[in-house]
Amino acid sequence: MLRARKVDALQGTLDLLVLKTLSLGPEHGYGIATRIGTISDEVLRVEEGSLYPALHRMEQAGWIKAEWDITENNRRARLYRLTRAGERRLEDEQEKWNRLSKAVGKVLRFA
Amino acid sequence: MGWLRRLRSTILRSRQQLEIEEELRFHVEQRTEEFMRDGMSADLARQQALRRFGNPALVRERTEDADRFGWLGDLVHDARYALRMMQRHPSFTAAALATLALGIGATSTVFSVVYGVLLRPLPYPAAAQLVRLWEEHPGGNTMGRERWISNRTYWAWSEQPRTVEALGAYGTFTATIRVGDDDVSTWGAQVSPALMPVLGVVPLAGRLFTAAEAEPGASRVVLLGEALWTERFNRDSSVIGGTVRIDGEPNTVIGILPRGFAFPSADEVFWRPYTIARVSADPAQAQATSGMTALARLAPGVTIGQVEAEGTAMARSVPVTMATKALFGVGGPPVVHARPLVADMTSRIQPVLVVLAAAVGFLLLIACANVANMFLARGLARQREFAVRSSIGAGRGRLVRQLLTETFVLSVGGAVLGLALAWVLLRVTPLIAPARFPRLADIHLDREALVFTAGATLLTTLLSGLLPALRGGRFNVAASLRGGNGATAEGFHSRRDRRLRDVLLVAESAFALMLLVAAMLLVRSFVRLTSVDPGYNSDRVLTAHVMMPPGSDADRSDRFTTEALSRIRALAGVARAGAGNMTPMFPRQAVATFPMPDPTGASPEITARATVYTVTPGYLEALGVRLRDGRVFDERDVQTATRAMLVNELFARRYLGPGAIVGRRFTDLFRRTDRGVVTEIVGVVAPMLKDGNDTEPQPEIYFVAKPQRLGQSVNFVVRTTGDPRGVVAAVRGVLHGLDGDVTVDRVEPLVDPLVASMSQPRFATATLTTFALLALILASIGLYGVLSYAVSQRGRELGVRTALGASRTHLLGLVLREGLAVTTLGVLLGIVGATALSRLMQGALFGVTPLDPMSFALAPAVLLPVAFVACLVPALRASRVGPAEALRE
Repeated sequence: MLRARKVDALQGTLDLLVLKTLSLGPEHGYGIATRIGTISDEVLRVEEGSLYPALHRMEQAGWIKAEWDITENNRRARLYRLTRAGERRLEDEQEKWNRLSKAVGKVLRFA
Repeated sequence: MGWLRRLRSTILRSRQQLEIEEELRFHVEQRTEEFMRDGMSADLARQQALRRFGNPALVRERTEDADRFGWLGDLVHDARYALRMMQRHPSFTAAALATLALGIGATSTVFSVVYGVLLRPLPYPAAAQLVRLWEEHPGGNTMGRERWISNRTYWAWSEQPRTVEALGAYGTFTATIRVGDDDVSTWGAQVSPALMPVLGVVPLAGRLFTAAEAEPGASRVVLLGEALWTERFNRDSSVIGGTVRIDGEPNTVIGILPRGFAFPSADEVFWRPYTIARVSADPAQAQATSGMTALARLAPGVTIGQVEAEGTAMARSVPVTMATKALFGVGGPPVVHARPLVADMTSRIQPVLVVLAAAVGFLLLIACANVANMFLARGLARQREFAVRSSIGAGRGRLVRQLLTETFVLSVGGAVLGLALAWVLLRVTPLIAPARFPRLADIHLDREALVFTAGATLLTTLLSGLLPALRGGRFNVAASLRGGNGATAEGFHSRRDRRLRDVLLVAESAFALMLLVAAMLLVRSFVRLTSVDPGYNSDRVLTAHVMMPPGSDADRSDRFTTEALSRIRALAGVARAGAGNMTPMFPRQAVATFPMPDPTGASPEITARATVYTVTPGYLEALGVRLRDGRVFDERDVQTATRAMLVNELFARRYLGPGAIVGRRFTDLFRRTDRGVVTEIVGVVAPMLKDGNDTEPQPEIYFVAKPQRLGQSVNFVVRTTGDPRGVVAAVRGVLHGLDGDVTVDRVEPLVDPLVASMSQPRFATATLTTFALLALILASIGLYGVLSYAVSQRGRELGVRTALGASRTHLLGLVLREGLAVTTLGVLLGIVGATALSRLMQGALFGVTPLDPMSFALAPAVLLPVAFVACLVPALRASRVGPAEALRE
């Protein structure tokens, strides 16, 4: 229950996390989930079931592009990379997030 | 179709779907490898990886949806899920769909009718500015339902009108048009030339009327409607400029009006200029007044009140003559009223439609309550499903959305079926609608109706889905998972749910009761209307109307009538026959006003006003008018110098005072025209409701048709020994055979127009009764469904009660009490609601008061037994629950 709720709260920011991760370089779904986990010191754990619908939705929106590639251990994997539109989207989302966290920070400091 | 989809999904999996599967498989395998690296066994690693991943089938489906629909994916997913749920529970789906289709279909139909008739703007430019005008002489008793202004008022007003731009008159009439050798009976209209441009009509060919063509004595011109021109003249443009005989008179065709022009209604197929009688300076004509149906367009910025003020001033500026009193009754100084044309055209049907609209609204509410209850009940059955979904991470909002989507999908299904139903019903409406139903052609299932249906669907979704959805989204997960069905009392089935369910049931029975009361009121009105004694016997009576050729003299009319009567009487199957200036249900009035000695003696003279029949001997017997005193006319009365008169009881009571009536004599009864004529009352008859059973009896007098007195319009009345339809051809043959130039129409059994005159109340009664029965059925199904469900849910409780010694009757009573308690409360609230509804329908009632005790008593008497049966079945089931059987569950 607790985990589910945490993910719910992060649902809106899933896009941001995925775009940011992909800005570091092309990656497949499993890699994206792992990277987010590692970088956030396992604080953020993407609900894997939601990741793929989100990836495909963002692909439809044109923010990311996918192609099949061969991994190091010779497996076929679907690799996602950021598009131009995705870069712009990332900037927007980042800007929005910064504003939000700044505002929350202010409240926490003064309230 | 299931096998087809399976086939497709196994054989025809698209590349895209295969790729998604591969992508997801890759993820799970990577995760498994990771866990194995951490030291797990292969089996455990795979299990953990899958657990972390969630339901692969679900993820796959949602990913596919994301590909196909982008952000709509979740919604589509919900809708798909809903469809699957519907498929899995066919009986639930069928019941809900049927209920919604009925509710939405009936509502859309009635909306289309109400919108088309009452709300859609009339197809004339600035139609909202058109007003009907009429004058009232307060206290005066007008006979028909006509609302007129007098020609005197018109001429005074039209000199320099300030508040209106165009002032004119119109009227409709039946006429026969001769096409080739064929007489065609049709409706025509007369319209003032000034009104034509106001109505925005542009002729298809030819021109409109000029003002001069409406002057008395102008040569006769006619405009033909496109329909008539097409059907009867094959769109031959050489008709324009030619002549057409209407009721025997030659008329020059000056133009063709397009099909869209329907004024005053869609029934009229030709138009003639309306000639408004001038006020004559000739002393013989100085008293003459005529009435006209007046229409005007408001001048810009003028209010209805200002028009009424100017009109009233004009009506008071002209003298009130004897003839004015005959038209408007003997009353106070005239007052002019104005009302928007559309409201006026529909004023008679409006109360009926308002009641139908209210009724159908209640029907939709009942349907919503039913579906809401079904969802509530099914929500209980699905608590485990929700508990599972909730525990794997579905938030409350997600569940509410899921449930709302399910209702929405159902409502859309219901709406589609409902629209199909409405389409059928609207096809049928013109067939069952009453005669001369206003604006029937304006009723369609069009954009407004579709918007309305969409709105009704959303409303249905919210009403029937929101409550169950909100309830479904909030419950105790642990209790639900623990106990399955037995734990209902804690998990889902809270007191609040039960209260909500009861509220819905109370509302359903209250609405059903209101509809039943309304239907009872209409049924009782209709029974009253048909059982009214009209003063004549319409069974086995045939009527026929003959118009003598224009310009023929009175002799020709006399000869024709005498000869026709003797030939008709000789026909096989004819018992009696007579002729007169009017018959019942014939839309023409002959009214006279004349001074009479005041029977109370309070004043020397009063003005008597009566419908005047001029009839041959045999007429009253053929109609079966009941004689109260004295005798009816015979052949001697035709010859003697004394004028024989019959009066009806109302005339006798109002104008003749106490004492013997038969034998009273008056010299120069009609002072202006009689010169030493003695009138003798030879008999008293019962009053005749000439203009329909819903009219008030009027003072009537009868004179025998002496030579030269019948005029050009002769109505024959024939009493037959068998079915009057059997002699139609023979009578028509006699009339045509005697004189080829006369126009013969309305050869029909008298019951036909009589029945037609009641078609509007019959329509209202039939429709509302149907709605009320549907409401009763829906409410009973709701009651039955909810109680059955409650009994099955409370199986364990009932079992325990049996085990503890509760008798079968006790259990029976327990369930019955619960069901009947909500019904009774609903009935009580429904009675309160019905008092409000019945006041609304006052205009549609006849002979019963809105608070008719019988209707208010009968409605619960119908509802309660039905509700009792609906409760009895589940109650019997409850009483049969054995202790072991219930506990085993």
